[in-house]
This record gives sequence, C-alpha cells and structure tokens, in this order.
Amino acid sequence: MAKRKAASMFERMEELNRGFLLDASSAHAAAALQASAKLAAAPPAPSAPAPAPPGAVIRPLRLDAQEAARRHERRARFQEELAVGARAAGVGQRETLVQARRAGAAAEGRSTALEREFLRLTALPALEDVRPPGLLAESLALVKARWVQDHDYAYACAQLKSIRQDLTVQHVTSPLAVGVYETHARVALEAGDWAEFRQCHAGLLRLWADGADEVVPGSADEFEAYGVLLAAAGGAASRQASALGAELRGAAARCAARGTGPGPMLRHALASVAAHRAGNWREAARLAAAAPRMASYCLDLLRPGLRDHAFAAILSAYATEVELGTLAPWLGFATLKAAARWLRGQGAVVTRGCLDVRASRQGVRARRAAPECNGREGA
Amino acid sequence: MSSIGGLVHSINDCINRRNSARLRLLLQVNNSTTQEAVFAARNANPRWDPVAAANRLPEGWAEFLALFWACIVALQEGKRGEAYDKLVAALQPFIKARSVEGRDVFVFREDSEDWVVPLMHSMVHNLRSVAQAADQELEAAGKPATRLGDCGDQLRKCFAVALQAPGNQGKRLAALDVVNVSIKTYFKLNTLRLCKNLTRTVVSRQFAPFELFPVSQRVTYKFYVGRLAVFDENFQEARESLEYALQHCHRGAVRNKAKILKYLVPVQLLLGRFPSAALVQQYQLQQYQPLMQAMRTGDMRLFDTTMDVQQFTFIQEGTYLLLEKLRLAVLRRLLKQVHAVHAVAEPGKATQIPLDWVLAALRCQTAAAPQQEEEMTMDEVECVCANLIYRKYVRGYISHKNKVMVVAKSEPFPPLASISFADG
Repeated sequence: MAKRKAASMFERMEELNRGFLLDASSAHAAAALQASAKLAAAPPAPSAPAPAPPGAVIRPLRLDAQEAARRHERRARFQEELAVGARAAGVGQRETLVQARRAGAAAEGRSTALEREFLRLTALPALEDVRPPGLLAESLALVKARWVQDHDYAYACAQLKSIRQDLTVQHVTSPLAVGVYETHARVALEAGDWAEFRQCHAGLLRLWADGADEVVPGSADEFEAYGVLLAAAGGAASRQASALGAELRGAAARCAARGTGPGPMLRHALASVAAHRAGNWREAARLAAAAPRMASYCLDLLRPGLRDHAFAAILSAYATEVELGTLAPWLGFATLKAAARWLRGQGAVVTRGCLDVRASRQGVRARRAAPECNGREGA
Repeated sequence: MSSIGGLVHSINDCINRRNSARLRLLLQVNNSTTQEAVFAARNANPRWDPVAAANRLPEGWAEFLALFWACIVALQEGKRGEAYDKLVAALQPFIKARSVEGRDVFVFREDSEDWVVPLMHSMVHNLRSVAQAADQELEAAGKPATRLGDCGDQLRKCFAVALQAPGNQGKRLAALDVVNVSIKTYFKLNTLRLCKNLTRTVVSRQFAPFELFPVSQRVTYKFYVGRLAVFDENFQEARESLEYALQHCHRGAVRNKAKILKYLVPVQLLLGRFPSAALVQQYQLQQYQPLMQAMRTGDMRLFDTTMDVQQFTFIQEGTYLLLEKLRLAVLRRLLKQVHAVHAVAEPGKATQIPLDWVLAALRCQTAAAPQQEEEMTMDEVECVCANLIYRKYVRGYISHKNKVMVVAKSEPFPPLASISFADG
C-alpha cells in the first residue's frame, strides 16, 4: 500500500512539474510573440496564442485546501524512511497519553518516580513521565511529611505543582485531586504566596463545579471562607467592592447548590468582613482571636486597612489625650513600643505614653502634605 | 394555519411586505403557529428535512430558517443541547453577509432598511432561553453546564453587529435589547465585570441616543445599571437609575415594580427615607420591615438577629453589604434616645452624655442575645461612638479621661439625608 501511495505521489509530482515546465515555456513563447508583434506594429496577439495549449500563462498558484494538502504530503515524504530507520536502530517512539487514549485503553501513567521536577509542558507528555494516581497519593504523603519537617517552600511548591500537572493530564477529578489542591493552598497560605493560593482556589472551584467531593468534611466551607476574606482584602476600593459582592454571590450560589447553608467558617468570615467594613475594630479583634483553622493568615491582610481607619476615627473623635495602653489593642498592636513607632511614622505626636490628639492632627496633616519625608522614620 | 406550507407562505409574505411585527412573533421559539406547523410536518414525514421546506424562501432566509426549524425539531424531541447548537448555527447566516456570486443577500446585515430590528430581538431572547434550558438539562445529568457561557459569546457577536449597523443607521436601535439580554446572562453566570464594558459603550457617543429606544428597554436597562451600582457601592447612581426605572415602569407591571423596589428600598433606607406601609404591602417588601423597625427604635438586637437570619437571602440578592451599612444608623438612633433621656434627667448638662449611660443602653439590648458571651465593655462603647463621630452621624467629641461624650448644642444628630453617601 505504501508503494502504491508513493507511486501516485510520484506521479502527481511529475504531472505538476510537467505543467510548470509547459507553462513556463509557453509563457516564454507568448512573450516573444508579443514582443515581435509590437515591433511589427501588428495588432497584438491574443493572450492565449494558438500554438500553446489553453491557459498556458503562468497562473498564480492558488493556495486552496488542495494545494495545502499537497504541500503537507510533500513535507512528510521522508517520514516512512525515518520510521523504518528508527525501528531498525531500536529507538522506540515514546507513546503519549493522547495516543493511549485513542487506542481505547484507560490512560494511566507508567512512571515510578516518587518525586519529579516541575517543568512546563511544551509537548504532549509521554506515558513514562506521568505518574499513576496511586503513586501520586504516596507522593502527596511524602511532600506533606517533608513540609512539616523542613518548611522548604520552594521544594514543596515545585513538587506539588508537578503532582497537579500529572493529575490534570490524566483528567483526574477524584477526592485525591481535591486533596492535592487543598494541601497546596494551605502550604501557600502559610508561606504567604497569594498568587499561588489564588490559583489553587480557582482550581478547587473548577473541581467542585465538576462534581468532586470534599476530602475532609468542612473543607469546602473552609476554602469558601478564605476566598471571601481574600476578595475583601484585595484590590483598589471600587474594584474591591464589586469583586467582594461577586465572590459573596458565588459562594452563596455554591452553598445553595450543595444544599447546605453557610458553614461555621464561612459565617465567621462574613462577620469579619462586615466588622472590617463597618470599621468596628473591637469586633474585628474579637473575631480574629477566635479565627478557626488558617483564617488568621487571611485576616492579617485586612489589618492594615482597619488600622488606618481606626487611627483616622480616633483623631477625629477624641479631643484631648488618649493613653497608649488603651490605643495599642485598638490599632492591633501587641506592644506599646510597636504602637508608638507606627504612630510616630504616621506623623502623630506621642508624649509621656499618651497620644496628644490635637498636636497629632496637625502633625498628620503636615506629614500628608510632604510625602517625600515618609520614608524617613521606620514604619 | 398549522401546515408548514402555510408557514412558509406567511413568512414570504412578511419578508416582501417588511412586516416585522408578525415575523418577529413567528421567529420566537415558543410561538404556537411555528411549533404546530413543525409538529405537523414531522408527524406526516418522520424524516422531514427543514432544508427542503425552506427552499422556497429567498436566499439567506432559506439557510437561516432551515436551521431555525431544525432547532425547533430538536426541542420537540427533547434534545435541548442539540437545539442550542442548531440555534447558534442559525445565528451565523442571520447576522453575517453571504455574497453569492457577487449578489448581496438580505438578512440582518445586508438589508438596506431597518425593519429587521425586532427580528434581532427575537433571536437574542431565543438564544438566552434555549441556552438556559440546555444548561438545566446538563445540570440534571450531572455534567458541567457550559452553554450559557457560550451564549454570552454569541451575544457579543450580535452586539458588535448591532453597534456597527451595516446598511442602515436605524439598525442601531437593536443594540439596547442585546445589552439587556447580555447583562441578564452575565448575572446568571456571576461574571459581573463583563457588564462594565457594555455599560461604558451605552453611554459612549457611538451608541444611539438613549431616548430613542422604546420605554420597556430603557426601564430594563436602568434597572440593571442600578443593580450593578449597588454592587459597586455607587449609591448615588444606584438611586438615580432605580428611580428612573420605577418612574417609567408601566403602571400595570406590578412584578417588575416589586423587583425594582427590592433594590431601591435599601438605598433609600441609607438616606433615612422609609417606604409607606401601603407600599410595603403592595409590593411584598416585608423582608425589610424588621430592619426598618430597628432603625426607628434603635434596636440593635432586632437588627442583629434579622441580619443573621436573612444573611443568605440578602447575599444572594446582592444587598447584604448595603444593609450592613444601616447598622450605624441604628446605633445613631440609640444614641439619640440616650441623649433625649439624659437631657430630661439632667437638664443642666444636656450636651454631656456619660458613656456609662450608653453602655447601659447597649447592655440591656444585648442581654438576652445568646451569642454574646462576653459583656459589652467601655471599649466597645468608645469604638461605636468614635465611628459615629468619624462618619459624621453625630457632631461632637469624646473626652477619654472623663468618659463623656460631648455633643453639639444645636443639631447634634444631623438628618441621614444630609450625610453624604461617600463612606469608605
């Protein structure tokens, strides 16, 4: 069959070449005829001269589907020989997952390596490089143990990303996948890698939408809560408001789809967000002290905004002095020294362990009017 | 008439006479005439092919209507996903030009008159409803629902064509309806940031003047703009848009008015303007009644319990963050009452309210609340009072040493309407 194909391809090539040669020769002849006709001042010969076959000028080659197919075939003309040569030399073609799936078998990786570097995919992954789900569960356990031991974020992040990659190319949406994303999200939260956390959160949303169940009961609620807190913390003022609203609506819709109301962690997150928006620093502090699981990492993001608001409110509401001892917990500081340092950085006047409100108002106004001095004192 | 021949005949008639009112009805997916005709044709011949029946129609229309009837066939067979795909395929000849050997083909794009505008309206409404039905089917089967997202993309194409208005500037009048349907789709998908582009285009100069569009579309658009403004915390614009919608809404459209009021009432409450009892009764606004009561009497406990119980509902409607802002108004009312009582008890020191009194007031309100494990302390009171002064709800200052709040002699509690909307 290959021989017949080659023969027909050869024939087609010959025919095409013949056509070109004919066109070229006849075009040449036509040009010569025209030139001589002009010289003889005779009426110009028709563009298709009698001796040449019809349509004999070089027509512009139309790049239609047929021509493209022809060129593609020509490009692949040595593929047969190469394949034969490779098989003879014993170098096997690496089978990819896509090919395995096309063959009908359930596609699972064949690699046996417990750890793997993370590399972005530039081509279809081969079966030998991908780990099967069973092995991935063990990999996950290993990464968790190493993280607890070493707290090496670079290593953990790279390993988890490679596990995620293996799961994605095998289209796994089991609780294992959910567990991997949750683990990576928690590790990123602890390390403060917000970009990675957002990626994992988005991945979790995708998995939930595809119908995956949560690994530990209450973890869906937990990550909804983190999402809401992050939406409340990020972005400029106006963008943030609608992003928070959209996130809340999404969380509510997902809770409704799951059939349960908001769980305890989500309720806590909602109360925290409400307290921060109302500027109620007492309530916010009380809730932060009772933050479940890893919510305190997210609440730390909200603290600077609340601190600024509290400071502005104190400056406008109080008339005389306020002791630093009462102020420090309001501003979210654990020690008086840290509070005093921050206040002075804002331009406030702190004397004898008290905040002098009147003088501070002027100081803050002056500090705001001269922004280039801001970096002078430590924050 | 319930035969396909009769249907073809009447469509031909409409095209020739440019009768858009009748053709618009015939192009709706749930139109009874169309449904009956297709059903009869399928009954007569189980392998009936719409392409053959549409042959007698002019070019371009034939292709479009063949696919449209194929969509109806799929709907009648219960295959909604397939119906949606056919409808998307029908959209292509509808909005694109197809020059057959140099001749122009008359459907939406090429027609030199603007009678095709109502037809575009039918098509976009069809798209959305069929997409939603297809998604319902997918969700019931447990598969991810993607059709509505695809519908958003298709609507964007329709919007581009309507904006470009090839052939006749009058076709620009199709645009607002496409915008409305798109926004409705984006609300369903919860991708609200995509609405911003649309609203920006509507106010830009390349859009037709707003007043040229029919009232119903203007009301719908202003309603959506108001809702988006509530999400963005842009309350001034929310109030203006929703009031416009309410004013121009048709007198008999009670359900629409109820929807508008559901979002307008919280915005007005921020201003301290309450709806009358008759309005509440007529438009089912009972969900806001406890909050209004709390605002009138300064009852923090009622406010907190209502927000707790209705939290979920308010979040889904998008009014939760807005209603949380009313908390400060309730506290203001409470402080006002303490001030009044104190003025009667100690007329000499009327403007100097001891913070202990405020603490007592707050304590006796939250005494019965089960979730308050710790008691209210002076810190809470000072926090509340500082916030009230900072937001200009109360005019005065706090003396920390004497634990007293000194309020202004005249107008210590300015009316809510005078305090600007712009809170941080």
